[in-house]
Amino acid sequence: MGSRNRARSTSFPLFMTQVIGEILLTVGAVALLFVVWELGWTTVQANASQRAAIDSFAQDFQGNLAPGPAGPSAASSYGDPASTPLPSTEGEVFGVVYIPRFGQNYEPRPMVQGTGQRELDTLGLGHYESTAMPGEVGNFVLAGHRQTHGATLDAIHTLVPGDKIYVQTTAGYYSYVYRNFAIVLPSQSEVLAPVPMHVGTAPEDRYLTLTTCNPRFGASERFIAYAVFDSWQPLDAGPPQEIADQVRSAMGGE
Amino acid sequence: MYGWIFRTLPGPIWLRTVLFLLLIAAAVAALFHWVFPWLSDFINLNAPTIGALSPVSVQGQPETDFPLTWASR
Repeated sequence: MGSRNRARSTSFPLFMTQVIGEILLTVGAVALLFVVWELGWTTVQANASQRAAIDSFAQDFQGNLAPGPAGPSAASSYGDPASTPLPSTEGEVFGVVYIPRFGQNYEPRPMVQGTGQRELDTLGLGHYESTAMPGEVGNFVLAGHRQTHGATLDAIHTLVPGDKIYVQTTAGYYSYVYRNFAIVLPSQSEVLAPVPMHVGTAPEDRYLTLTTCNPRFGASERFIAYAVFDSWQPLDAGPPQEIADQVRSAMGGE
Repeated sequence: MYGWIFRTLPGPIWLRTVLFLLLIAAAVAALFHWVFPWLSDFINLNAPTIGALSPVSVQGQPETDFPLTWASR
């Protein structure tokens, strides 16, 4: 009862000061919570949904999980890469991407058809639908978040020329070699051209291009990583040596 | 404001404390579930796709699905 009397006897300016102060403190706390949500919670959620996406891909995956033969000669003896069937719907998970340079703690990421918000926020790396499929002649382009929602390409700047990027689909394993990066403006869609930056040129090579935002906590530019096709091996040849362990654990083997 | 809420809650101090914490938890849950996802559309922190500002397509088809066009959703 004492507090109620005290509240009533408080002068109006003092009362208003208290209310405004509490509102300001609340706004500050909400702003901090937003940072926690954006940089932390979205990644917790996205990691869970990406793991589930990989698990469901693994359930349908029929392939030999014993590591393939070692050495470049074995891998290059399978000829031209088989093509992966075009995903029938946007949002379909049609492969898994492995990037050993990103470290042991970097989990394999699902590859999903489409680059809409739903695909990128919950499912990992999105395939630009207008671009080539894995292993095709032309430009196979994937987008992923640099920050938030799993931060799938956060470490993109640590790639070193010569690093392998592996793409696993229901047709086999495609290996690309990272070659160079570029920082471009968000409007420079020439990056997606069949020969990147050369609109109208007929492609002869097979490229893999990754796009993400730049700088790390901003989106005023885009960080582009270019890789060129290196080799292909069919499913029954098993996964490439370098990622064999990761493939086995991602596909539910031991 | 918070003092008023605390005084308005029923029961002894310990029950009021529990109820007060539950209210805060509910507010945080609502922020995480509805408010922040909506708010993040207006904050240009993460846009990994190319062509988001000028939807020019390389192969003649306009890009229609990129994260930053909240107007199109």
